[in-house]
Amino acid sequence: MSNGLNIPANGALDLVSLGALVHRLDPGIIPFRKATQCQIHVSGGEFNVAANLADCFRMNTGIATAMSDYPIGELIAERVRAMGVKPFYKHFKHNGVNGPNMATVYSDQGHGVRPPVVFYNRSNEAAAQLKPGDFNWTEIFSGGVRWFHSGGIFAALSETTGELIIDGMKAAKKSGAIVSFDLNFREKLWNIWGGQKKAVDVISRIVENVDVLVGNEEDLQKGLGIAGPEVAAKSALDPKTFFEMIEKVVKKHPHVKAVATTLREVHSTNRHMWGAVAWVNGKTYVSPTCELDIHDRVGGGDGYAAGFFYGLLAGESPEEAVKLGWAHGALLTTFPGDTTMATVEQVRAFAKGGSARIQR
Amino acid sequence: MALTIRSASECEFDLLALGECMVRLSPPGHQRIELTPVFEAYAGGGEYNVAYALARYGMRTGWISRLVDNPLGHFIRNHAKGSGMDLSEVVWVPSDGVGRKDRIGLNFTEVGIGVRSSVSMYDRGHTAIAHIKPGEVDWKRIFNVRKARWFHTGGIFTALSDSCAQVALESVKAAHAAGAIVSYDLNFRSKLWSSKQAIEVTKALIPHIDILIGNEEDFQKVLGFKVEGTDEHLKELPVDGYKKMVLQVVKAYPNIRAVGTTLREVVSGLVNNWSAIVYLEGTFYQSRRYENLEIEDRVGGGDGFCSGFIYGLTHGLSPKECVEMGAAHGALAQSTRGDTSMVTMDEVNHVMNGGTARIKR
Repeated sequence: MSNGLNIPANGALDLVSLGALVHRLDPGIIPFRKATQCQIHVSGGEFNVAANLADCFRMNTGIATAMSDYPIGELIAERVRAMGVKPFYKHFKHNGVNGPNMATVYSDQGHGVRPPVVFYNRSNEAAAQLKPGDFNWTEIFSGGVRWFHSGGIFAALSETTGELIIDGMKAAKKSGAIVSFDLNFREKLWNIWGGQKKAVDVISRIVENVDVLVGNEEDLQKGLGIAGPEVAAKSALDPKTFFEMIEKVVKKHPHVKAVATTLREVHSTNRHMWGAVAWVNGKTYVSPTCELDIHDRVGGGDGYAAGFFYGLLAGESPEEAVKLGWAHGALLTTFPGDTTMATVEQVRAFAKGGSARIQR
Repeated sequence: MALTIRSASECEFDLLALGECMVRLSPPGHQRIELTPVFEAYAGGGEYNVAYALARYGMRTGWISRLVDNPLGHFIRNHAKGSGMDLSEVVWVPSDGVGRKDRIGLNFTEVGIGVRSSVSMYDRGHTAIAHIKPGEVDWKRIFNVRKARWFHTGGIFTALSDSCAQVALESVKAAHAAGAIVSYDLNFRSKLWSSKQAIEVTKALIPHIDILIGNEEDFQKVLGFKVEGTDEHLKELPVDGYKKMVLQVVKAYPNIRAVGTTLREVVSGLVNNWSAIVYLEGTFYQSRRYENLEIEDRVGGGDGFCSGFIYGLTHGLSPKECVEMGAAHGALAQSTRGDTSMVTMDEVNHVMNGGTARIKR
């Protein structure tokens, strides 16, 4: 195959993700300081990829994560089932007072000139306690696994989560799976315990095991310590500087076979120009661009990753995989919440250049 | 435990249920159907509700039905998946884009208050499940190869169409012959068929059934038994008359091992006296009585009893505990809006053991 990836053809699980499950409180366009009610979404950068692949792309996926046994945990577990993701939980007993908790993400949708605001309550988070040895990877991968995914949000949670990612990646590699990592650099999370230096150290060691890397320019700079572009890009949608940086990435990590990211030009909270690119095995691929009317931007990047992985898992060309990821990410921003409500038929139609004409 | 259930290790499923699930549209609060600007959407159906609850409590449960491959069919699928139930034996049929051929059934349910009773209006004609044909589901493979410890279906499914009645018969036959416990909720629905039709069809099913669930009215209308001393509005229920009737039932059908029912006295739309009674292998067991039980939504209370009772039986509880669990689960199921259970097994245990509703902090 031209993509340089040797993806196993079969496996009981098409993808297993490792990461934290969170619940996101969403007051819509009202900022939290004036909010009177919220919707509850179930999310997690790494989980979203598994959920999108299961629900929209009808793949068999799993999530390895922490589950605290209290009503918020039950709410989250129910949504995980509803998305069709097989859970592998390390259970924690909640003491009824202060944890271990399922993290809370506070995230409004912003509007127009007002950007969305995100802040966390991740104190005493169950997932931060996860460490190497908590999951029996041999058992989880026993029926065969085609792809293993994790990300930089989970890596940033504590001193042990990064090590667990490496532990899982090594086991997945041994089982023949493709390994991917979404850099998703979150400065606030690293600042709690490690800071920038620790971040680069941990993420670089993780990336030693990675075949497919997802991340934008900022992620590559801050998460991997790659020097920024020498020439400023003409626009946020110009992939030139990104491709330039990728050359530095693969020079440092020559085993990386693919690097992918989304390109967003934010005109307002509700209006973005949207594109996506990938570098696969020495060749570059660029999606079409489109103007997006955004309902809820959270999850668009995970939506791209899921569609891109789906394309590769389904044996599509890298070019088609980029298009599917781009189309799915675009559709995802039209739904409330962080995970997909699209169908694979909609994604394929949009990737082909479908319109938003009403279907009757 | 008097009832012997085949071991879990030889079966893929702890329970399989067969029936329809509808999309239910309800006005918020106690609004009227004809005036509301907003409907809330729920999913439910008698047999489905049993599978849904038991899947939530960790039993390996599957549900068998026929669904249209359109967004309403997917709505039901998404609801079902949240419980953890298996849907691999669901028959999916294409959508014709109009609904002339196969539809997903709807019901509009208004929750009454005070003297105004709840109203349920069906829009369930031409549904995919009503068009199921004998032979379409491979019952032999399901019950002899995949295997189930328990099979549950009921009178709502049987009443949907002539072919549903035939499929009900072939399913209970196959389940029973393969060694599963077969339970059947009589659930008479006068809008779906007449008592005469119900009696004719249901009598043929009874030889393949181990456990019958039904309230006083069901036994009258579906099997033609008479409960002595009931008034027509079912405001008060003489338990002795009910017991006599059950004894007639098991005399007429000695293969019936257990009969369970809820006893509901309607004080007002949202306040009922609630309890349950069970006959099991020759003895009656009665639950505690929930006096003036405040109800949020009565739909699904009977299914809540049925699933709690089955949970008790499959988990080796004593007959008395089984009836208490059924009554407690039925009471709790009526504390939430929607047909399906939203409570936890901890809450069921708390209530069945006489726990109070004091706030838990």
